[in-house]
Amino acid sequence: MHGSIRSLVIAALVAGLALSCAGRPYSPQRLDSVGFTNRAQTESEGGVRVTAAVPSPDEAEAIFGFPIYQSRIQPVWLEVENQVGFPLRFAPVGVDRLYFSPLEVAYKHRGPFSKQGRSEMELRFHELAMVRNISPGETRSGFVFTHASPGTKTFNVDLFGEGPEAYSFTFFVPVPGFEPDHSDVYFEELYSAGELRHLDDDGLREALAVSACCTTDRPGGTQGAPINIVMIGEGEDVVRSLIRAGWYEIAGAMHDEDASKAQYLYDRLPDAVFRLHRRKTGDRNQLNVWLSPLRVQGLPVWMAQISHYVGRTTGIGRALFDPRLNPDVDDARNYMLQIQWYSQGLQKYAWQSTGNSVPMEELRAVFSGSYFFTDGYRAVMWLSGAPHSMLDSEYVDWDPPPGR
Amino acid sequence: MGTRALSSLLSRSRRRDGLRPLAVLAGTLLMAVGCAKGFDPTPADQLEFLNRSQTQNEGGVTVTAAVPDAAETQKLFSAPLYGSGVQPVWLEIDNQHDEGVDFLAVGLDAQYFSPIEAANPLGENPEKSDDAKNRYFHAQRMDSHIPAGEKRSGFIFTSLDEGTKTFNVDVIGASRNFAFTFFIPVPGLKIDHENVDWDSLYPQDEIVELDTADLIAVLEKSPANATDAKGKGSADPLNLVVIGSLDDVYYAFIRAGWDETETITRSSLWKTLASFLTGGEYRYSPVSSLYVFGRGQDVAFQSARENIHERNHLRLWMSPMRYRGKRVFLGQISRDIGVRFTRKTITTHKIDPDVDETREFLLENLAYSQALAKFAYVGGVGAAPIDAPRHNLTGDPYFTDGYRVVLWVSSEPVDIADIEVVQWSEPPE
Repeated sequence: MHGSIRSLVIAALVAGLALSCAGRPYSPQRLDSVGFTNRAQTESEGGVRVTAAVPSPDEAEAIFGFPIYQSRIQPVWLEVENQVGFPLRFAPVGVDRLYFSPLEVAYKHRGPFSKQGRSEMELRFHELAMVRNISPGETRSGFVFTHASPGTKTFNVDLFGEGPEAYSFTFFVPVPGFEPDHSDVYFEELYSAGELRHLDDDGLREALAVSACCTTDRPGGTQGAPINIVMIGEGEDVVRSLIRAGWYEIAGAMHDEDASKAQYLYDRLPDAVFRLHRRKTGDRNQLNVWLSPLRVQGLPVWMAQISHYVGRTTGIGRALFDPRLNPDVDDARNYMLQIQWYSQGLQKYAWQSTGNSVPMEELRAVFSGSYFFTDGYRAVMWLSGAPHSMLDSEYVDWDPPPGR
Repeated sequence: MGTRALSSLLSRSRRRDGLRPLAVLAGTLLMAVGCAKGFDPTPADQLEFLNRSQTQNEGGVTVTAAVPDAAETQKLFSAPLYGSGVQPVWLEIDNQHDEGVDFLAVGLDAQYFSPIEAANPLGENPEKSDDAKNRYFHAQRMDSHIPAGEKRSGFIFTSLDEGTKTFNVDVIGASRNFAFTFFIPVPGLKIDHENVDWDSLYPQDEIVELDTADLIAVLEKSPANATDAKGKGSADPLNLVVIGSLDDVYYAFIRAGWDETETITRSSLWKTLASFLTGGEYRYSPVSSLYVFGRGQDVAFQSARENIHERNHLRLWMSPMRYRGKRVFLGQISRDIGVRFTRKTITTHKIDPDVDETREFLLENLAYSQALAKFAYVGGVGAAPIDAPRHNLTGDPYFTDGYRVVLWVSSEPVDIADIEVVQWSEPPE
């Protein structure tokens, strides 16, 4: 018995060795034969043009000769044209602070290739990498290897001239093969013209004071967790502000993964769901968003609920410890206000006290089986799609901020 | 030793799925033991760590900060928080400014733990876990709002940094903002540069103050690479020159997110072995010695990425040269991209052969962290093209344009737009 297992293992090892020694040739496709640059986006500012595109997983496999997305590495293609009369320096750390170096990516994936294949691969990665220095009159292009993110890819491209001249561009690039949940929602058809309420800031404050406190488990059903976030802005600006702060979109199919925990407001499921990981493992924030019938100075008002899952969510941890909701929903709310502010996505904000506080000693149950406590405050945020300096974020004095 | 090793293993294994089951089991055991002892926290004012606090003041706002070490944290919260990667930071904000101010925890640590999360590090169901413990952690939190004329204190539960803990405290008022940066040494590690007697490295008559032309000439003739202990062999290329005071160097690299390095001790070797085997993260792992000026590096910094096999590390040697009163260091940086087997050392870290790429990364890393005042390039390494690479001591190939980058580092923040480009030689392509 033992002998036969041992010989099997040895045979498998020998076969594996033989395969790896032989290795296959490295045969990527020509860059211009993979059409991903058709989707490129371009931004220009005073003589500097930046064009950016992100290949899909299939396109990236064709370009680099192996499934690079499987290692959670996402190549970003850039082209920079310099017509400013002085050299420009591109800094890859601006795109991704912990970007992968080109030869690091090649080394990680050298396994299946022959000796010659490996050196061809190294050379190709070196040649396809984006350069740092772009001389006046030149146009240079290449890839930066970033950490993969689900959904719309957002990144900055920073270019430095001599002295104080600097250029910064922000891109939001959809990647094929991913349709966010909110792309299926016909927002203009959610409310008739008669249902919309057009308000000024004071009117908004009054309307929010009498709006639903919480979600329900089904249309008109049992009370759920508090609506503790209000966002104001055009849909695209809200999405950009969220993505810039580190939130990512959810594909439509992931929506109703657990019907018993589904949250309803306005008799419907969320119009959009966003998620964010504070750390590499473990916790996760979720933001459920509904378009309300309120409009303030022409801008849509979005009601939202933030939750914070603190359970470990990988490996055996999932079996032993379900992802659990952090009952401290105020911490999640405060965290969100801060990250929107730090990511330059916050134009102004206010606090609104709903009076529905739930002390920690009397945790309130939600239909989904979790609990919460809260000071009863809502964070009301006017969001900005374009960067808005942190120092210029305006505080609107509605209710005194929560605190002891 | 036993518990410490176990808890340090735990903290590392949290990052790896493979060891998660072990961590969960061990954690459950620890919890069981912890429960048996009961929840018995010690008030902050009964512990030593407040004596190590630092205070800063700006425009009527006074911030005091202190960081308890592993043992003090265990007493404070009656839980092995360091073992679960959680480090409490104590803050006191005295607001004598004429309006209410807000403190933003995200500015201190964008990954901070909520109090209840910190109290339940293994994802226990918070409703079923010790209620008194949850309430205690929540009550100890730092407030986000400090009304005018009042003083607030409490803890932020941050991600663990051993060695020197550095963080910002951002305080926002309606009419103005206040920004403070703290660098607080945390007892517990044996850090390499703490053992260096900087002023005895050279006899006084060997210290030379050079003008620009002489400095460039000397740097161009300085050794191209480090060597082994016998002064033989060619190790990695000396592609860095760092200019600054001791404080400048320390604050610049800490500000840019680099971790300090432990000296080789039984404990650090054990931690290195554990992280090597598990692929986990030991951020302060001792760095092997390379030699310049007849001695091993004076200080090494490192920056772990995904695991111990993927990190950047750099070594610095203080030279006898001074430039405009500042110390001049020679240095070397490499990016570990994996592990490979060698005949000489059995295993070694494979470095990215594009050493210039790593050099430029460091320049940008310091610039984005506001730790760089100016920079220049100077020759001296000798070019080696990609098709005719040179090799380091362990046989890793590398190619280079032959330049060293000269970095004037700064202990005070420097805006990225104010960085001065010094034209010593044509910059590399």
